[in-house]
Amino acid sequence: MTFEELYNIHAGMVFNLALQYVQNTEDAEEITQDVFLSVHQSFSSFKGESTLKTWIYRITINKSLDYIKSKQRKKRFAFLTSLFFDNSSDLKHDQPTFDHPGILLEDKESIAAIFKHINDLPDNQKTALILHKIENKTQVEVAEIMQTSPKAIESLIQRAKTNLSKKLNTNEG
Amino acid sequence: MNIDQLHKKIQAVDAPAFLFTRIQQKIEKTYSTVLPKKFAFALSLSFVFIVVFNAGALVYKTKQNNSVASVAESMNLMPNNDLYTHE
Repeated sequence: MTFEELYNIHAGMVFNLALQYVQNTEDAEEITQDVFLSVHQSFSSFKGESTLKTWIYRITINKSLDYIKSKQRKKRFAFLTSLFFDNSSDLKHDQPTFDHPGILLEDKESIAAIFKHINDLPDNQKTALILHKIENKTQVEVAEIMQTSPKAIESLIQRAKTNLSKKLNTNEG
Repeated sequence: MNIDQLHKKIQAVDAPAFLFTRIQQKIEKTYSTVLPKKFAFALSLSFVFIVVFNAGALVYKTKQNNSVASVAESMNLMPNNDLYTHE
């Protein structure tokens, strides 16, 4: 299989999963590029212990979480810089934007509110929830991607749902 | 909105067409910046040679200084040209 064929098969999956993490087209494009660069560089180290799709899923999840962390670091640094330098423009240009192309305009507001709370969840709960509830994977598939047991995934999803409903209720109340 | 209905409300989208070209460009850029193995080996070998040569020169010079000092001492000669401060 050539790299272009591999890209054509998995690009949509990678781009959509990245979108669920960052909810922004530009950031998802950046993550997709990083993922395929990684796939190209480390394809020789792929041992075939899991399917290629599962392997690419794992890379996408790791890259997305790393991307979010590095963005948060940059934001903190920009904030600190803005305290000392008045002309720092980093903070002004780094506003979080909800720009998910897969969501209809009429649902945008309510789904943006849910994503705001999903983004606050711990990484493993967030990943389990995204894969199961948005990517519509079964618990067994999620367990394989996250290299854990289906029982652990069930518990992660349950905790994520409890945390989410608490936060949503607090917001509504 | 219920969390269980979320996947019905979010549609899958296609990745932008230009992404593959960008990825190819990034791959080419990565390969062009990687140092060829032969070149890296030659560079490290020359670095080691320079370090060894300098260390050797330093040791040789120290030995030479020591021999001059020992000759001067045995012949009861002053080891410097400072004539006025010496008793």
